Amino acid sequence: MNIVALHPMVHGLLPELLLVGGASAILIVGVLGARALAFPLSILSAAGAIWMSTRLAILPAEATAALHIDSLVAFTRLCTLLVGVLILLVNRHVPEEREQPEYFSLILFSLAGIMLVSVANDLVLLFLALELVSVPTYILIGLSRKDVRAQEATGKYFFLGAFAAALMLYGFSFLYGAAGTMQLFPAGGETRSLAAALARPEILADKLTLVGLLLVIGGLAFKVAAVPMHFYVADVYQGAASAMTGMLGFVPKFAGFIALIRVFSMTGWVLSDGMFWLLWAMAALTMTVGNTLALMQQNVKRTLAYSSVAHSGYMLVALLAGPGGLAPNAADTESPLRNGLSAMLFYMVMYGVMNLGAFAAVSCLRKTGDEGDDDSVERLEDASGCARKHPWAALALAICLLSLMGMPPTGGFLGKLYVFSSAMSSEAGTARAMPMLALVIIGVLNSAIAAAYYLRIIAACYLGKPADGIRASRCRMLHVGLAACAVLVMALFLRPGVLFDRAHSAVADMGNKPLSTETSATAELTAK
Amino acid sequence: MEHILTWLIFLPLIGMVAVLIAPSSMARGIAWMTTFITFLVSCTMFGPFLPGGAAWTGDGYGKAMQFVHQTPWIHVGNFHINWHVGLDGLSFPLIILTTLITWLSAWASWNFDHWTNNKGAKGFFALFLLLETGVLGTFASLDFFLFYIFWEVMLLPMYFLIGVWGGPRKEYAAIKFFLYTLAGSVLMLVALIAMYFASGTAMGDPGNSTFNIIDYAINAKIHDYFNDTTTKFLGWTFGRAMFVMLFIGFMIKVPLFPTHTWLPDAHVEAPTPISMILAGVLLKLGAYGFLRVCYPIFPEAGKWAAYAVATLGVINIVYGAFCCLAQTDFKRLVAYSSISHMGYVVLGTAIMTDVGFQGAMFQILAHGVSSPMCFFLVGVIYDRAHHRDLNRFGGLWLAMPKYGSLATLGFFASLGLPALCGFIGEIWVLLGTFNAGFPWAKPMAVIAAFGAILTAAYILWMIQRVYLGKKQEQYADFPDVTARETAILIPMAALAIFMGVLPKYTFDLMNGTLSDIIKVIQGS
Amino acid sequence: MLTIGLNHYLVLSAIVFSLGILCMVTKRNALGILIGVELVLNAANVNLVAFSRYQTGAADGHMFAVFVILLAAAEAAIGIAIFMNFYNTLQTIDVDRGDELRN
Repeated sequence: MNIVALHPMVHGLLPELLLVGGASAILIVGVLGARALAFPLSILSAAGAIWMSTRLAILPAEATAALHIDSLVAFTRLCTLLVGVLILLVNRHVPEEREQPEYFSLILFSLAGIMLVSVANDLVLLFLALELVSVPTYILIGLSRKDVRAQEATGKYFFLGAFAAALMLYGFSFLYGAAGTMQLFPAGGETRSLAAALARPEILADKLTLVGLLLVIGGLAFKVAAVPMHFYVADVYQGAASAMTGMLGFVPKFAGFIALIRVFSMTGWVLSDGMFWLLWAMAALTMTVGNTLALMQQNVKRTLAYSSVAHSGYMLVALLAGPGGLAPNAADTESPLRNGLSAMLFYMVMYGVMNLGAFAAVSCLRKTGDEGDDDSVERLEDASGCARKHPWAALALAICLLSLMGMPPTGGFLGKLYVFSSAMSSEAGTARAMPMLALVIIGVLNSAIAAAYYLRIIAACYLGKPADGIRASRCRMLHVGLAACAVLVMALFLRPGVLFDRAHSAVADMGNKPLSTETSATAELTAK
Repeated sequence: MEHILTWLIFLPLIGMVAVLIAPSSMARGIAWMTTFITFLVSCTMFGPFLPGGAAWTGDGYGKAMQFVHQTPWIHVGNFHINWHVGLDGLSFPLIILTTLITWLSAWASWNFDHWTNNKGAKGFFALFLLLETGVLGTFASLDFFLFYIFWEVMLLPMYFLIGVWGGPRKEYAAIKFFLYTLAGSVLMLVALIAMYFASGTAMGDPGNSTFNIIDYAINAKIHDYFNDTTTKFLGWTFGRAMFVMLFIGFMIKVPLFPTHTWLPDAHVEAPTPISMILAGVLLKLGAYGFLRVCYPIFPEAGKWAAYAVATLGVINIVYGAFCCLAQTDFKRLVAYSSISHMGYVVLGTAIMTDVGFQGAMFQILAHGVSSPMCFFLVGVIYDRAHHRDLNRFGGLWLAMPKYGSLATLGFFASLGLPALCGFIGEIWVLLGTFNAGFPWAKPMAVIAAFGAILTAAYILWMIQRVYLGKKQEQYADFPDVTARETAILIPMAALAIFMGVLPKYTFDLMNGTLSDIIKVIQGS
Repeated sequence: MLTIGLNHYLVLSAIVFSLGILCMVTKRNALGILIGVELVLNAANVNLVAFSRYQTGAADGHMFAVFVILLAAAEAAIGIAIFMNFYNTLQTIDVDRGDELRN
C-alpha cells in the first residue's frame, strides 16, 4: 500500500479512519438488509484497525499541528482495540437482530473516540473526541435493554454527561483565553501551545487558567466516575444490560484518564499545593466513598458500579504520583515502579479486562426477569448457588472478582502493587511523601473493605442455596469473550511484562520521542 | 533431583490437576496418594539437616540454605521478583510437619461420602491440595514477594473449604476468617513495598532493591539502615513501623489476642480434616513469620516491642485457658486451647534469647502434632454422637477403650505432661522467660506458669466429663476406633511420645539456625 | 461612552453559564434541562468568540464555536430521541418520575 502519498492528516489517522469507515459501512450494510453481517464486520474492522495501528508506519509528530502521535497513542490504540474486541464478543447477544448494525457500529464509534482522544493535539479535536466517546454510549444504553429501567438510565446518563461536557467546554474556553491558542503541545512548526503557555508561572497562576483547569478536571471526573461526579454510576450501570455495563466500565474511563494525562502533561506535572490537595482529596474520597457505597448494595450490578468508582480512586492515586522523577533524590527516574502513569495505564487496562469479565459472567447467568423477559441475574439472591449448575461461569466470575479484589494470583494484584508502589516512591524525600503514604494506607485499607463485598458475591455463588431458574446464556461469542477475560486476568499475573513494559514505554517516551517508521510499535512487535 | 524443593511445592498442584481430570470417585484416592508421596519426598530431604549435615556449616544465618532454587520470574525494568526457595533448620521441620499433617488429614477425609455436606468431592480434594501447595510455598520462600503471594494463595482454598463443606454457620465463619487474614495482609503489603524501596536506598542504588528475606537480615548495609532509629517512615522510626505492620499481619494468623476471634468460629464450622490443618499448620505460619521476618530483620524494633509482645503472649495463655474453662462445645474448647498454647510461642519469641526461640520453635512443632490429634479425636466422637456438647458425654472410656486411651494420650500431650511433647516447649519457654534479661520477665514467667495450671484444670475436667464416669446407655454401643482412625492417630501419638522423651533429636534439626538468628539479633 | 471590552463578554458568559446551571438543577422537565445544557454550551461559545476577537485575533475561537453549535444540535437530537422513548413508556417527561433504579 502506498501510504506515502496520503495527506499527513489522513496518514496519521488511518486506524481511526478505518474504524469509523467500518462503522459507517456496517450502518449501510444494515440499511441494505444484510444485518447478519454486522457482527463479523465489526470484528473485522477492529482487527483491521489493530493491524493498521501496529503495521503501518506512523507519521512523525512534526508533520501536522492538530495531531500528536507519540508512544502513548500507540499504546492507547492497541489496548482500546484489543479490549474493544472483547467488548464486541461479550455484547454479541445483547441487541435484537433488527438493531445489530446500529449497536455494533456505535461501539466502534466509541472506541474510535478513545483513540482520537489520545491523538488530539487541539482543544477542538479533544473536545469532539471526548464527545465521540460519550454520545454513542448514551444511545447504547437505551438500545441494550428495552424496559423502563434502561430508559431511565439513558436519560440520567445523557443529562449528566451533557452537563459534564458543557462544564468541560466552558473550562476549555478559559484555557484558550489564557493561552491564546487551541494547540495543546508544540508540533508541526507551530510554537505557540497551551503547554508552552502554562509553563509560564504568571499564566499558570492566573485565576482564569485555574478556573479553566478546575472545570476541565470536573468534567473529566465525570468520565472516570470520580467523586464528586460519581453519583450517576449505580443507576446507569444497573439500568443498562450487563454486557453493556462491562463496556461502560472501560470506555469512558480510559478516555477520561488519557485526557487527564494530557491535561497534566500540559502543566508539566507541576502541581501547585492547592491542586495537589484537591487531587489528593479527590483520590481519597473516591476510594472511600466508592467502597462504602458498594458495601451497602444488595444488587450485584450496583455493587460493581460503586466498586468502579473505587477503582477510579486507585487510578487517581497513581495519577497523582505522576511520572516520577520530580523528587530531587530520586536516582532512578527511569524505574517503571516509580512511574505512576505506567502503573495507571496498566491498572486501567487490567481493570477494563477484569471488570468486563465480571459483567460478562453476570451477563452469562440468565434468569426470567420481572416482566417475564430474559434478563441477567441482578440481585445477590438471584445468583445464589449458581456454581452448582454453572461451574464455569461461576469460576470465571470468581477469578475476575478476585482480581478486582487484588488477590494473587491475578493481574489485579499486580495492578494494585504497581499503583501503590509508585505512590510510595514517586515523591520520596519531598514534603509530599507523607500525604502520598497516607493515601497508600487509605488505599490498602480500602482494598480490605472492598474484599468484603466482592466476597459476598463469591459467597452467594458458591455457598448459597441454589436459586431456581438460573440458566446460562447460549451465546458462543459471550463464552469466548468471558473465557478470554478470565484467562487474560491470570496470564497477566504470570507475565505482567507483556502489558507493563508497553505501558511504561508509552509514558516514558510520551510527547518527546515521536514514533518514526523505524521505531514504530510494529518494529518492536515483530522483533519480539 | 536438583530442584527437588520446587517439585515438592508443586507436587500437590499436579495432584490437584489429576483430581480435576479423574472421575469423582477417585478423588480421595488421588489426594491420599499425592499427599503421601509429598510426605515421602519431604522425608528424603532429611540428610543435610541431621547433625553434621550440610546445613551445619556454622557460617551464619542464611549461609547454609539447602535445596536452593533461584530463578528470575518477574523482571520489569529494575523491579525484580525471583522464584527463590530454600530450606534451613527453621523451615525444614515445618515442611515435614506440613506434609505429615496434610497426609493424615487427607486420610481423615476418607469418609467424605458420609459427611452431611458431601457434595463435590472433586472440588474438596482439589482445594485441599492447592492449600498444601500454598503452605509449602510460604514456608520455603526466601523472596518476600513470593512469600506474600503464597500467603495469599492459601487464603482462598481455606475460605472455600470452610465455607462450602463446613457446619451450620459456615458462611459467617469463612468470611470472618477471610477478612481478618486479608486485613492483616494488606498491611504486610505496605511493609513489603516500603522495605523493597528502603533496601534500594540502603544500598545506595535503587537498582539494587531486593525482596530477599535473608539479605534483609544479613546484608550489613540493609540491616543497619533498617535498624537505624533515624530512618523514618511516615514520621515514625522505619524499623518499628515495619515491625508493627508485619506483626499485625502475622498475629492475626497466630492468632493473638485481640485478633483471635475468627479462630473458634472457623474451627467449629470447619470439617475435621480442615480443622487439623488449620490448627496443625496454618497457625504456625504466623509464628514462622515472626521468626523468619519480624525478628531477624528488625531486632531493634523487636527489643523495643518486647514488653508489649510478651504481654500479648501471656494474655493469650491465660485468656485462652479461661475461655477453655467456660466452653461446653468440645471443638470450641480445643480451639481455645490452641490460642492458649500459641501464647507460649509468642512469649518465647518475644524475649529473643536462645532458649526462648528454641522453646517457641519446639512448641510450634509440639502443638503442630498434638492439636491435629485433639481435633481428630473430637472428630471421631462427633462422627458417632453427632453432637459435641461436653455435658452430655460421659463414660466413653468404658464404651470405647482403645479410643479412650489414645484420647487421654493426645490430651495429655496437649496439657504438657512430662515425657510428652507439650511439656518440653512450655518448660523451655518458661525457663527462658524467667532467665531473660528484662525486668518484667520474671513476673511474666510466673503468670504464664499459672496458665499452665489452668491448662491442666480444663483438660482434666474435660477428660473427667467426657471419658470418665459411668457408662451411658446412648453411647454404649458406639464402635471403637476403626483401623483407619487408629492408623491416623498412631503417627501423631508416636511423635508426641518421641518428642517428649527424646527432645534432643528435634532440637538438633533447628538449633543451629536458631542460634544463627540470635547472633544476627545480637549483632545489631 | 462605555466601550465594550473582553470583560463585559466574560461577565455575560458567566451570567449565562450560571443561568444554565440553575436551569439544569431546578427543572423537572426534560426539555427544560436540555435548554439548560444549551445555555452552558452557549456561554462557552461567547467566551470562545470573545477571546478570539480580543486576545488572539485569529479565527480559531470562532471555528470552535461553530463546532460546538453543531455538536449542540447533535446532542439535542439524541436527547429528544431519548425522551421520546421515555415519554412513550412513562407518558411524561418529568424526570423525577424515573425512579425504578434503586438498591
